[in-house]
Amino acid sequence: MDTKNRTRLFMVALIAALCAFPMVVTNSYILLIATLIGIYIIVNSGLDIVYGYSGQITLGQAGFYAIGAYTSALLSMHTGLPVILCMICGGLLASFLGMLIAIPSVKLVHHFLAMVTIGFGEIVRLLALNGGELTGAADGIPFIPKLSLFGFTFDTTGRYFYVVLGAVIIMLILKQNLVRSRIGRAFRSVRDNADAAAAFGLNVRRLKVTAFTVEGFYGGLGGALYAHLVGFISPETFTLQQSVLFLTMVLLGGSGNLWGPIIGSVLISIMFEVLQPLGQAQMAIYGAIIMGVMLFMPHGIWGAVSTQAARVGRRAPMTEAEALDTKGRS
Amino acid sequence: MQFFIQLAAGGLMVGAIYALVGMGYSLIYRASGLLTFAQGEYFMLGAFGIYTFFVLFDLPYPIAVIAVLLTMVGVGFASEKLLIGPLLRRGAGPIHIVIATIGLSIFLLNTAMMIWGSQGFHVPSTLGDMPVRIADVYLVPQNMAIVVIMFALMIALHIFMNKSRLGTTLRAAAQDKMAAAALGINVSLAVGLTWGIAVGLAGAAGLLIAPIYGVSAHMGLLVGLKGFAAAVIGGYGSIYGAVVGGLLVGLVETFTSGYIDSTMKDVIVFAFLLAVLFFKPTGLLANDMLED
Amino acid sequence: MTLLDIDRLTKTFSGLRAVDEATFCVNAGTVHALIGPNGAGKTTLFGMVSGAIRPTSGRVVFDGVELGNRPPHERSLLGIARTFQQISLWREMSVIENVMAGRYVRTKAGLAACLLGLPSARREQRETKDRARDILEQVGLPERLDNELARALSYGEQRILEIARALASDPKLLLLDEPAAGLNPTEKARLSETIRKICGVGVTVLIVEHDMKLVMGLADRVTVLDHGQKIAEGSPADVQSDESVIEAYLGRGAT
Repeated sequence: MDTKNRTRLFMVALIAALCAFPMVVTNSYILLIATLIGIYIIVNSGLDIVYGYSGQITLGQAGFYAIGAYTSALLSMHTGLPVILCMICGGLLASFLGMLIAIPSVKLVHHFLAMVTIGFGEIVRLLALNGGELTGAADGIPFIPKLSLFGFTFDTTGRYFYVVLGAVIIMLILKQNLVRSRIGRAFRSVRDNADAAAAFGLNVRRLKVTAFTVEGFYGGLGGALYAHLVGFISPETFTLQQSVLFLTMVLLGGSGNLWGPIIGSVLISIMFEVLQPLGQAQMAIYGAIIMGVMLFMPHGIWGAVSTQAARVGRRAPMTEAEALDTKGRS
Repeated sequence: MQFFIQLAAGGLMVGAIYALVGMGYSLIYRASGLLTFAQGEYFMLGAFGIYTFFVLFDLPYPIAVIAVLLTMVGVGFASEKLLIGPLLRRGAGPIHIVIATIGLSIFLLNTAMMIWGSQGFHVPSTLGDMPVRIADVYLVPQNMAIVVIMFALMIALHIFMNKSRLGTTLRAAAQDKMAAAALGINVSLAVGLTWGIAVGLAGAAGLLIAPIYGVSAHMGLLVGLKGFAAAVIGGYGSIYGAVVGGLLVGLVETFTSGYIDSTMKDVIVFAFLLAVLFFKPTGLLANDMLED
Repeated sequence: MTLLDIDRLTKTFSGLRAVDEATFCVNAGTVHALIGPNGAGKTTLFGMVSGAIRPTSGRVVFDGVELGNRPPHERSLLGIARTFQQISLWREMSVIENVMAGRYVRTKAGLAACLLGLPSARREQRETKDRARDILEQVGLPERLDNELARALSYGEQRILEIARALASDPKLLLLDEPAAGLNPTEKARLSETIRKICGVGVTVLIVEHDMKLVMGLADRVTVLDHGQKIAEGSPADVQSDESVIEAYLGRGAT
């Protein structure tokens, strides 16, 4: 069967396997990690849209993550809104704030843009830390309500896994729609050659802002999902270190495609668990990974794998006859 | 009034530190058109350097200083040769370089924690810890020395870059690699040396500040940020701009501390940086390209 | 019918007159070449037509509309497209994606439609892809290259792709900036044929080029610049035998 149908079959099989996962694996800690991986996949896919597709450096993911988490937690605890709506509001607010901060920021590039995004993340964290009674300050917010849909409460990790799985599938479908569309192509032309893009009528700044706006929703939704999974949030979770971790996942897995952020999320999360006993050395290792990826695998694991696959099926160079043939398809 | 002068003096002295680090940022940008995230960590390493050589190994102070400076220049050179240079040769874009230096700074920070631990250390001052009173203002000798050294280094750097043969060589290599190579200049060596000097500046700042504020693994983060702010505010790429920017940042910080609240000082400095980035990214002084 | 009217166009760069009161017309449906020795001001003039450079004085009138200081993307909408001296393809996108992306101003699906994959967006996507395929066929790039990354193409193929991309916005006027640079004779012959074909379907072409043989065989009309000034104009044959033209070239060393 052809490639497209083969991919579809693989996806269906994968989703089926994932559906069976909580029934087979009953260790709640492993389920927790798996669910977190799903949340990271959502956040990182949003990050990928900004970094991988529109070519902008961003270190403010933790900020979106925090906005989504706190917004959803607070709305669910202080208003009567159903949790699912609170989550969506969390995503929307993060998206909106992302757009606002992006507007003056996208004229900057590289280090300078990185600084602004770091500032964004840090300011959000500091606001949470100094938010007094509203945000619980350093103590955070405990007893965040569980998600309930149609009377069914997702109060175990196993049940919540399905929620996150569903969210991942939806958000990835949206991402694929976007990156294959004219806006997705517009992002990539801004990334590859912004001057040429401008010459072809693209509003480069507006597109860059759009990328951040979309990332905001993904990050915020991820944060909201996190809040109602763990039931407790505090500023300690939403640090620059977390942003760097997210970026590392996308860099390692590969940016600018569907599978890279997924692979990166899985690998780094597993690495994180495995390397726990090493303590401080862990972050040094992530630093080394970042440098190593930039030096040896700038397109990440997925990039390296795809290049190998392409090399196997390399096309033959055009013959002179073909070069002179301007009549039709060869 | 006396309070004002005291604060101003303090601001200039702390600003001198930011100026030194900022000069390094601008120098690297001048030399290679590149941006780096790691200056703060080099600053921290300079401080740990003086702690290691002066306190742990008990070397005489001048020897320890020379050892630290040579080490830092070597580290800068190595950074360029092992990381930046190879990246550029593989066709890495600016964004990859920035990310790589982010990785480098994380690596250096955490490695330092592994080597020396995460507590703070003390380095005694060779000039004495007692403040000296000059015209109604109390100044710590070490602080004054820093300002003097900073200006001296700024002038020395200017003379070196513009008047000496080696300095002119470095500038030539920075402006046009191919032309420089055609003239027989060892471009690779020149770029490496420039990075060495820039890192050396940060390291010098670290070793100078160590007796005043102590040494700890995280000391580089804020200083790196403020040094970057200094470079941006003064006009990224300008050595004099970095000095002006550094002093300005120092003044903003101490006046915020003195008149508003010391917990706000970092936020205010950061807000200042963001304001400059948003409204006048080319800096308050010079003209340079850092936008799209 | 005049499509492009260059009227006493001038550009001064700190005292140097790069383009000096240049005046000529480009007729619709023709191939018009702009030639001259190095430094004659051809690329600067091009830049003023495409919107990359602001004129110091003079006018550019396109299809009856005075262009003034309109930015490039507005000129794109009006029907002007261009290629660049240095290949500026979107290297990490495929051949067909490059052409589809070049059609951006003629498409309008918004963020929501794209995210949700609405039928209107899908339809527009299909149309864009079909049009891209047609253009690629027109310029002679075979279907099997469609999904190759732009950077994987040979230099000659990339040059052709640049033209295809420029055609994607259905322009009335196509500005070609030294499209033959770096091509071998076979590729040049193919380029010439392709340009003829493009002109045949109604696109007007204004081409800056150094290769005299290519220009003379291709152009309907030639304008010659030297030191920013127009020194000759006419059919290829007229211009070739014009004394001032020969002098301009020989004075610098013949091309």
